[in-house]
Amino acid sequence: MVALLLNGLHTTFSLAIFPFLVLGVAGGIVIGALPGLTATMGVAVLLPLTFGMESTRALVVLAGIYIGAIYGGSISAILLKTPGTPAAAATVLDGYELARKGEAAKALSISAIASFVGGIVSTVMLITISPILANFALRFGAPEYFALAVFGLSIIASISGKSPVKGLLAGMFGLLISTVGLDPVTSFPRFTFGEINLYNGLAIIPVLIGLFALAEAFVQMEKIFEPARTVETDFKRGMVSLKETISLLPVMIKSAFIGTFIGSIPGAGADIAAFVCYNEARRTSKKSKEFGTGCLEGIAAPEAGNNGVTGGAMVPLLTLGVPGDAVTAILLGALVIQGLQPGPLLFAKSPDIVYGLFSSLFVGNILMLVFGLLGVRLFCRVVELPKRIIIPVIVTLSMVGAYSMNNSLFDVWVCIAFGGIGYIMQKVEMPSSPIILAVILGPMAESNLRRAVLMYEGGYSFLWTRPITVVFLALALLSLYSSYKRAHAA
Amino acid sequence: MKKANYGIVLVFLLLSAFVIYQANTFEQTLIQDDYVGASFFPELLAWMTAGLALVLGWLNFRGKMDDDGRTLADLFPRRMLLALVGLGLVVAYVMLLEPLGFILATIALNAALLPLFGVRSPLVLALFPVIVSLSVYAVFYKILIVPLPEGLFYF
Amino acid sequence: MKKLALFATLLLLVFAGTALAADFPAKNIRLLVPFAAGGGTDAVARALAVAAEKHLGQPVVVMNRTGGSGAVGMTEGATTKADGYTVTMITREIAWLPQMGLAQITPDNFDMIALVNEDPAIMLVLPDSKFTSVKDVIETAKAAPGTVKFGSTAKPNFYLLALELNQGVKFNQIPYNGAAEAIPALLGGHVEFTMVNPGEAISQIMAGQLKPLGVCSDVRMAGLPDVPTMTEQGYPIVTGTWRGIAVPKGTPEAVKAVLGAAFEKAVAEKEFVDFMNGRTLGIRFLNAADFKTFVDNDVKALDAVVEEVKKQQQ
Repeated sequence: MVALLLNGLHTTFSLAIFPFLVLGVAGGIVIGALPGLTATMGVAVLLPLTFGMESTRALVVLAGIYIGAIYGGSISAILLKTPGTPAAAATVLDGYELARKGEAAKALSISAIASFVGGIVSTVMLITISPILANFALRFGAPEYFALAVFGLSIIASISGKSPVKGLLAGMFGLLISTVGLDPVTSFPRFTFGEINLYNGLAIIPVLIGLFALAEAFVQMEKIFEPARTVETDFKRGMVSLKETISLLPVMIKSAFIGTFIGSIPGAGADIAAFVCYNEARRTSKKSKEFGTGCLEGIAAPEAGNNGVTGGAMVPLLTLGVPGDAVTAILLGALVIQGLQPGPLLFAKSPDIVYGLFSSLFVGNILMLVFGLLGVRLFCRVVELPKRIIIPVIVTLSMVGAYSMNNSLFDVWVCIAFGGIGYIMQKVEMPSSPIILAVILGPMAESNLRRAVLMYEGGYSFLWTRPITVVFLALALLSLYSSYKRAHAA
Repeated sequence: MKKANYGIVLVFLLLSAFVIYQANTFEQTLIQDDYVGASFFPELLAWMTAGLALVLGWLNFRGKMDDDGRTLADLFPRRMLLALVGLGLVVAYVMLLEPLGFILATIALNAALLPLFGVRSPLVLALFPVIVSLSVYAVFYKILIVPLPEGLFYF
Repeated sequence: MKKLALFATLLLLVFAGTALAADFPAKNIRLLVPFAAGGGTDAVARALAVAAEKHLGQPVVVMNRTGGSGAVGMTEGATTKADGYTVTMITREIAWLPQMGLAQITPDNFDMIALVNEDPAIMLVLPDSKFTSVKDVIETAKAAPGTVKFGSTAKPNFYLLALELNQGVKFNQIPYNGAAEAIPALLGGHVEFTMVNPGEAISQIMAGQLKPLGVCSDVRMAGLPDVPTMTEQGYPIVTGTWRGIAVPKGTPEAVKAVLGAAFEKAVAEKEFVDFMNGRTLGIRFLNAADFKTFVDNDVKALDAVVEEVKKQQQ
């Protein structure tokens, strides 16, 4: 295997591959940082360009975009309170707070380092134990997915800020709007009022952009003539120190493991992983009260977690031939177009391509770290710009971002509506993150509960007879209990 | 903040009532689901929402919610008009997208937002909207191949 | 003043009309895809767009508009300006969405241009399944109706309905969002069988992780010559899916002729053929007139299925 990997590294650094990897990672960071352009979209639109490429090069470009974009989302999350991708929604919680204290450089640098750790750990796991992970992932049937979703939802209390009751209400609102659209089993149009654009429910990207970017823009508009007490970005405080990084290593590695596991389960992706890692870090942290006020752990955990997914999502793709998430679904298409059959046969038939991909994931993660750290100063300039210049740009990007996911003006209206809702919510001190988490997990919880009941022909015994289900439901209770304890200790 | 909290309670109670009312009208389609059904989840959520809203109301009544003493007038000051005008401009922008096309509409939006925020320099007012519009167009339409709305003038 | 405005409008229309027919296409053509980027329909569309560009002389931009099993994108495609600059990749869903009350448009809102792809359904089980033939599956379901778990890729699933109505059996349908979810569910043993298009499961079939029991086509597939058809096994079930190109009703004839010729050539492009073969996607070309007849027949067939299901529910 070592020989194969060295061979792969040789391929990665060849002139035919390396420039494309650099382009892929850099392009991915830009795509991820722009609100509305997700990793999925970046990979999908660039796929046709790879049709004419040689197999390894095509795969490497796409994988580079993937890692870059998942990291890139955190840049705008930290600087502008606008998660570039749903995967970075959890990073807003502490990242933006830290930037507001004038430590944007620190936040950005720890995000790059955590993403790197997440990416590297998950690549190592992909190379070494992917068959084990794949077997674990296949044991996830509807009851397990349901329990995972319930566990995810139990996090809401932990990301609610000052008032858990208001956070839970926001979560309920998110769950309620996630029931809009065709019913997952019977296809009955629920709460659609005859509007065909609502049949698929409210798309997450416009809701996300509205609640975060647009709502924040409205809040800033209100304060535009206040004496300029804007965000001070003091570069002297500089990046994260080596000592701090080392002290965060355990959190990052644990989150990377969790991210890889979640990534290897088909259908559960970077967005869920980031929230789960945030919650887990908070639950076990000595400084759990500082979460939400700009603490480093609160950035390191979700960022290591969401980039941990990148390697994990490749596991089912390469071992089973089924995609782990939307991005790897497109990678699967790319492999097939190149005349390759993903699945166990790929390792036997085309080891050069598989190991070329592995080593490119390594190098791609290193490139991401380099670009991320080099870019910190550049990115920070954004915060220094006067608000009256930057808000029009944010508003424009929000509109384009909401539109481009589905080329739909309807989505733009959704974004504006949620911009208004998010603005009022900020006024009455209701947190927005629970809505996002609920919109991601609501459909997963409902459709899998109903699937499970169908499988058990009306019975509910799956709730206590299936080990993984029981573990996740127990974790959900544990997570609720620790939030409750935290709220009462305060 | 205390009054605002009661406002939240009211909004969420109304929302739950509406959901429960709607869920009762769901019909059978070609696919049967005899066990859980289409209305189970929304109804369950609506009852939980109503319950939570009442909890919030009770806590608020007992003075257990953080009350920073801000009144409604503090929460919704007059300068909120700025944000409302901004919202109005955004709405107008989306309505103009189809007839004008992306480039012109975006120039118009930025040219309207800047003076609202107190930008007076004619140079900035003239150049900035054009630069923003064209660069976003270039990145999204030319590089990332997102088909942005085209107006009557083919761009 | 009013007359002048009217005159100007007319002039503009005439001018636009002639300009359109004479040198169509004069700008980008948008290919509306009613399903998400990364799926099967999207893949076919993107490959076709690349191939069609050469013959249209203008870029073909793929535009995904997802939602409601394709209803959103196809509605937009049918109601857009009938100038030929927006063409839609329509799929078999158009033949049943209206009957379900899930779309206001029908195939009659489109002018057909070309059928490009048709795929049969294929029945799959795990290699160590207790089912070794289609007969096993059907007999088990007959003995215990509603217990054999079927991983469904769509709601309603017309592959399963075809099987159920033809044989008078009932399965326990577990609905998933597409093959990307249904196949892992089968691999993990959470359902007992599924029916998908061959391209969606070809890598698992090749690797021996899934076993095909029967193909729902008239003849065996070239890519899977060892898999018998359902008909061969005594169950005359022919079903599958198709994809084609259409424009809104009322598009000028000259424009349709240009599009028809371009897509006919595109389907024969080596690049496109290689792509389709690589993914085990079936190429089937039909010109505008034949495609229309084909769709009308399919609508009739599915109408009958929907009627039958409604009758059973009462």
